[in-house]
Amino acid sequence: MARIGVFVCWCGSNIAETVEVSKVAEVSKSIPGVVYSVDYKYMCSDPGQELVKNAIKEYKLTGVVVASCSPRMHEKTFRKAALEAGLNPYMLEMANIREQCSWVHNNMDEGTQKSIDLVRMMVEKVKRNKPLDDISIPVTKKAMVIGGGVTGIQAALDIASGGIPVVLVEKESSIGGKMSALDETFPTLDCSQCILTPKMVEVAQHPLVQIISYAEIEKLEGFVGNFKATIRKKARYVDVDACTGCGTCWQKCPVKVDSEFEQGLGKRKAIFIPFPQAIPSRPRIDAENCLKLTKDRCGICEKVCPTKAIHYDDKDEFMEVEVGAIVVATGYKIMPVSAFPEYGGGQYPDVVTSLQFERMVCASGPTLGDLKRPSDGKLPETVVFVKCVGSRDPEHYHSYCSKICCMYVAKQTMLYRHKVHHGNCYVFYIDVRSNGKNYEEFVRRAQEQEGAQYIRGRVSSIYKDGDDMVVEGADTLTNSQIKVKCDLVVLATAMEAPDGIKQLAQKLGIGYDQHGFLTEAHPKLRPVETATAGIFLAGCALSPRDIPDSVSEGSAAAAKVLGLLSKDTLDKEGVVAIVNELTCVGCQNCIRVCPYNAIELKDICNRQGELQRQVAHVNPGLCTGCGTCTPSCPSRSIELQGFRDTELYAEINALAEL
Amino acid sequence: MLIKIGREVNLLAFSKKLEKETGTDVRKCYQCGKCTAGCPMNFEMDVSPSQVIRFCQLGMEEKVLNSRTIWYCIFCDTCSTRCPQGVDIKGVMDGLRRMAVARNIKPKSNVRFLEKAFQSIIYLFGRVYEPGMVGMYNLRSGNFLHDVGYFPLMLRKRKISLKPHFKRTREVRQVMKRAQKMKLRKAKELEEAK
Ligand SMILES: Cc1cc2nc3c(=O)[nH]c(=O)nc-3n(C[C@H](O)[C@H](O)[C@H](O)COP(=O)(O)OP(=O)(O)OC[C@H]3O[C@@H](n4cnc5c(N)ncnc54)[C@H](O)[C@@H]3O)c2cc1C
Ligand code: SF4
Ligand code: SF4
Ligand code: SF4
Ligand code: SF4
Repeated sequence: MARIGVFVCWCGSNIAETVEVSKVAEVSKSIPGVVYSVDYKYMCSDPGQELVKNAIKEYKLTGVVVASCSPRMHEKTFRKAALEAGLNPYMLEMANIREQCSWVHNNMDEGTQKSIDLVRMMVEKVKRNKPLDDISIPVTKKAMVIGGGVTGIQAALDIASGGIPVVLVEKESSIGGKMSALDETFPTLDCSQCILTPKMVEVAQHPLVQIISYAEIEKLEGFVGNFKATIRKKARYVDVDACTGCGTCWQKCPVKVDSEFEQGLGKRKAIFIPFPQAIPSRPRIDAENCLKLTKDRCGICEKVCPTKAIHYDDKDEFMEVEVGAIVVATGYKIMPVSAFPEYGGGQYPDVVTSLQFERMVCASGPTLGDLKRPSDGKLPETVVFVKCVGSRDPEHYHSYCSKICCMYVAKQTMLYRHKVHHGNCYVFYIDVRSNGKNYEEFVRRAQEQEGAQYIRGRVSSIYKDGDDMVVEGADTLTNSQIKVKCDLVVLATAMEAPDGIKQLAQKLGIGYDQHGFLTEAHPKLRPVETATAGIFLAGCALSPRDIPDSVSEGSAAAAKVLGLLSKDTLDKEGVVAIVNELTCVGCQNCIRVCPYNAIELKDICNRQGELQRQVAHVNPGLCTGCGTCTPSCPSRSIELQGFRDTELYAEINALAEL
Repeated sequence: MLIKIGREVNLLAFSKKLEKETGTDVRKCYQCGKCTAGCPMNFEMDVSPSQVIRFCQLGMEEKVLNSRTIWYCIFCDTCSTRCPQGVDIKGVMDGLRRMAVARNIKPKSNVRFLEKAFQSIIYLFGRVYEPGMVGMYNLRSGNFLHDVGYFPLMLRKRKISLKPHFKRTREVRQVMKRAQKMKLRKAKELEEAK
């Protein structure tokens, strides 16, 4: 015989104001099977939970209904209390009389009646519930970090120093990301390379970190704690183990092309490392420009290589790794000048992006820090910076603010004035967003001490007049148009999601937003998690961020990974689908609809080992309990535990019996 | 200047009225100034285009209806094309002009003479006839020799011709008459609404 207890919560005045809680408790007593009921001000408080625990023991309850808030809030709390009192946690159900009742009604009688109905439904359900066990799954104690920018490097280091081995997968031939191309960094003006390269070396030398560069994720299978990733190691044409990084090959290679790392402002060879501190310091051949690979000529690098590390017949290779958790830190890209027709659309060499400007002033850049404008090498004596280019423009480009350009533009005015003391620099802005530690002070310093002249208005067009560039903008504070003749224009173009990110997200089964940035499970409370258990996010992969934020998130994601992988097994709710193998006809409907690929065909053999028939089988590790499969089954053979037909019909009938 | 808002003036009332008239919600403007930056007529304006939008946001109807700006906007569309927020500035200018006409507010420029001359010429010929239009405009504005010096050069470059052409005069007149009727009806509605 069922012995059910009903516990009605006031939630302070949240529920009690619209629901007569004492009446709900009183009426509940008359529902068949209910042996105890009570109302209390805060059920979730310690005394409230004690009430539940004591009643379970005293009245030997076989089931409990807590009528309070949404199960999303406190189902865990109460089920844990039930377990402590010796009751199977799945024998406790919640009737949501707050979100579904008091908050949406304002009439006391209606609110009370609906609460009674909801309680009655849950009592009928819990009477038919079956005790369930949590599922425990083994865990692979290894992690993978995708993206080797500063965020990914930080995550890999923190995971490895917690004793968990890490595979760091980087798309380019070197780790380092965008930060390796920056000059000095706000708000302290420390040299980017000087603070990044020690971290790069540390991660490369860490015994628990394996860097796989010039590689991408091909496929991901499995589930939290048990992922299996296939990594495509793109053909590099250089045997990284044999190569010593001596540099003979790239010195001798006759082909010169625009360097991506130098943002097209400098040249590289067809066999190259992107920058001198590259890690690994092994070159790769750019197959599109190599003479040997395109025209079967040249072959010089192979001849000069002292260790015979060059192989023109290299092919993409695939490797499989098993990991328990993944951090995605794939960063960003910035919009090119060519995206902005009113600013010249890329036809003027002296209109550059902010990242190009970083290379132009950087001591390791193509001019070794000698500031020259691209068209004629002249020292730019007047420079105009334009902010919010492509950002905050929902009509043509992106609605979002790129968040960091306000700060790096202030920085770049200083870098400029430190190089050209007599130079003029103007900044066209709409707002100055400088909300970080010491950020506002930094921007004030640029204006008050370093001579940056700020003009509040957007720029309408940029064109060439003789040798000069002309910027037409407005000063909205005096309501005038402003025309600036200058030598160089720097556009703070918007940060965007990097190429290929949507495909990657689809392979990993994680979400992305309309801009292509990856989405977190909860913007406030789960900022580095995805909706897919075991996959975490950090850095600019989520949205534009500066280095301090990116690094913090790299560490945060690492902490999540370490937390997950610190256990030997993972416990998972017992709410999974189960197939009745006697009635399943093997039609495979459920297999087709399951969004998590959790169902596969299983052979049923007779004693002689001969195949008799095939039935569906659910992998409980993969099943998320979404329930999509159950209505698809024509023979009603697949049922979700905790939500079986008998339980759900009992709920509905309870309502119909009125 | 003191702008009184709050209990005295409802900021939103004018924005809403304008939205009804023009289909554009001026509250979307975040005052970046890009419209002002590119406006080819800004040099003739007393209030810049972005400022017109700002005054509208503040419900300052008198200020904008009495400005020169709304009469000097040439409807070139530069502002609306570039506005990041999708504000149709030129449409707002046009709406303000219509409101000013409905309230019999005299334009702060000779543009009204040009407008009259333009309409008369269209009514007569069904299309533009420049010498006639400029002549009529000069007569009305009292500046008889205005732009006359350009005539020989423009004739030579075949930009204008002395002989008028006629084109579908009957249909054009019908359109204009109907527009006139609609205008009167609208004005009456506005009057009644008050
Ligand atoms: C002009 C400019 C100046 C800046 N100045 C400053 C400054 O002064 N101070 C500051 O704090 N911040 C500054 N920033 C911001 C800074 O660059 C970023 O905050 C930081 O680089 C973010 O690091 P990340 O690792 O998240 O991304 P990234 O640096 O973009 O790294 C991402 C990495 O992931 C790799 N990747 C991408 N897709 C894949 C894939 N599918 N598979 C494998 N790998 C992949 C990329 O190749 C890259 O190596 C500046 C930015 C710009 C544009
Ligand atoms: S950070 Fe500043 S410059 Fe960049 S989009 Fe935002 S407001 Fe504009
Ligand atoms: S409950 Fe969902 S995840 Fe589980 S087998 Fe069914 S459809 Fe797949
Ligand atoms: S361009 Fe648009 S958003 Fe900018 S000031 Fe003009 S109307 Fe406002
Ligand atoms: S449409 Fe009018 S306001 Fe807009 S740019 Fe042209 S003249 Fe200026």
